[in-house]
Amino acid sequence: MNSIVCIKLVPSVTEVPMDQHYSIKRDSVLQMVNPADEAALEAALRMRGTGSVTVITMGRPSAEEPLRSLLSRGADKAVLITGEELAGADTYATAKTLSAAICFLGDYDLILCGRRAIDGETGQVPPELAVMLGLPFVTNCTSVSCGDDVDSPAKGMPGKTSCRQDTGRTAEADAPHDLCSKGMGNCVIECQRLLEDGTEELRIDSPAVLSLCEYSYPLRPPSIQGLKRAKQLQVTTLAREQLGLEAGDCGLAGSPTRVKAVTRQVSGVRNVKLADTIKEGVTAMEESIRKVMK
Amino acid sequence: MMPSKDIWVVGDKTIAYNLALTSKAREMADICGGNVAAFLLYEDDPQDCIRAGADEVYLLRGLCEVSDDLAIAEALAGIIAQGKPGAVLFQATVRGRAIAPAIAAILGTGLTADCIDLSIDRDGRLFQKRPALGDSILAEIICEKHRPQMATVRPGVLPEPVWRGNSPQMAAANPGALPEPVRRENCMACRDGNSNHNATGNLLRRENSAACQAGNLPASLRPVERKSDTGQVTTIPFHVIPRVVRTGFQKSRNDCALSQAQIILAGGAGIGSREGFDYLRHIASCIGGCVGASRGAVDAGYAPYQWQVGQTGVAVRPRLYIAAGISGSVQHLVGMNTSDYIIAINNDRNAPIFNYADYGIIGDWRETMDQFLFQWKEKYHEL
Repeated sequence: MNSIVCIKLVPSVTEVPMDQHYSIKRDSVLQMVNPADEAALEAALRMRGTGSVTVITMGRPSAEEPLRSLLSRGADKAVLITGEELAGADTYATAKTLSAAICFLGDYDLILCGRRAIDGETGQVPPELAVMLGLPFVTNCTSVSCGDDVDSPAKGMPGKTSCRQDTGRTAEADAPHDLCSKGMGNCVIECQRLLEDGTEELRIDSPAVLSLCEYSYPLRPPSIQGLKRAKQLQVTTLAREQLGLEAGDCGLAGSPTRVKAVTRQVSGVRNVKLADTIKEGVTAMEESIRKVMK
Repeated sequence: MMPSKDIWVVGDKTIAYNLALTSKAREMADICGGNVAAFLLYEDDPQDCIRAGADEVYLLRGLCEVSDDLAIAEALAGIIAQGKPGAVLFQATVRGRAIAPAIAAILGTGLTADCIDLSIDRDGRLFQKRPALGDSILAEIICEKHRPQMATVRPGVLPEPVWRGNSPQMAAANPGALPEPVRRENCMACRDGNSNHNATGNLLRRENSAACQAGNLPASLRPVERKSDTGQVTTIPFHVIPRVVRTGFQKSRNDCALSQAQIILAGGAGIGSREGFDYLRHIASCIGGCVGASRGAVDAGYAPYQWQVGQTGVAVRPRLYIAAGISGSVQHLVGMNTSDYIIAINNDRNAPIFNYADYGIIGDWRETMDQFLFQWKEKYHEL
């Protein structure tokens, strides 16, 4: 199964400097791979079979190193979409840029994303991306696998795309728990989606877009083969012109929303009253509970 | 046709929040001079929506069983494209936060996620406030040129609805903002048997990559037969061909939805075992609450991920949050520090949680809970 995994690099600190448009000055902070995106990559690796996994990110040139480290974790290809005009993008402009890149790369069965980033926290890019690619999507997944002999939701309907050709890769010896035993052929994806009141089990045809919850799949550590590959391979760099995007489609210019003002808040500091004894504390707790239950 | 200043509210499963959102829409519509229309996917009482401030209510039938968010988005986008409201509001539930962006992408407009406050000016410009960067900042966002302005609103942050009456004259003044009925047998795409046909019929395909034409209005609508019920309430049936189907459902091991609980008893890594969490869960059910967990507890395997409260788990805003054996890391705090009242129980008097709690008990969590349960049962006799 060929997957493209969308990666975002996020600040690894909470105090971040911003420019006059309230965009994060990303060069001057330490960056890390967004936690949920790591889960997306691991899921992609487990479903790879004899296919391939490509990681893509829209970011600054400094994103190249973290992307390269994902090659050492098992990704086959890394793509960086970069350019000054891409900065300051809201979710719409981001999805537009990513979808253009995905169209450009082509050759995929599944697009995987983290469900939300820890800086913007919107969770909007995966659905917007899916619409722009014309694909069905499921957000908030806690598990995903290739269903073998299951009835496809689109069974009997013409025009379905099938999985891509075998790339000739053999699955890595250290790959645990493969989620897809075959690397090609029609794939029906089975996933579990976390809702407020429970988890629903869903079936969706590939190609599709899925977003994964953090920690649903812990990302495997680098392997020897991976480290070698990371040394040998180049990170492919794409600019917006190659993707057929106008400057007005990207970045701040291509964003329907913009941040008008930002206030920093010290959230939640309170004046605590401490109980002298456990008994006193328990009585007070009981009071509070009864107040709410009324 | 210029976009109007109307505000549309799309209802989700929780009726109370639908009504609060409708009431907020009413308050804003009164400022900019628009109308409020409520769209219900689930079985809500339309009269309640009207009393909460809606001028019109549309019952969308045939969508609540659909698990395909894209299909629902397409259906709603079609209506919105025709009706051209100034703003459309959703609840920021898991599904709201998936359907709303899909609609925004179809319509080529802006959307702000998880707002905790909204305001509007006379011209109908919506100001959307939301926290970001781990709750360390509050951002105010606008969607300057594109319409409709869209926002998902965090459930539980809006005040209780303000009830008001609506005179029948108001409804008559609004000729339907909805499309003409299209009968299923006349739907060209259905006749062609096009497998990629969906509600709006004209979605992007990979072959159109160069254009990436998000924002083109849909050329045709999902066939709709509209039955007008009484005055302000209209039923719209949909037929949807989903590409995502539900094959099963596991109810969460909580007795209630964590994100909507009024009382939460949460445990940290300090609970020390799964059995400890079973105990907490028992106590939670005695007091009519939900059990939650910190990331440390989930990582250690004492509690399932579904119980996790925090930046990478669920954000909660209960009336009472009891944190047992939780140290109070920033990542946990951002998920619960807007709770009305916070009680912290921890052996360590220097635990950061005590800076963010209203009441603190310095002691062993199990000893505290044993004593609490003893006192509680004495007073209430039943489990």
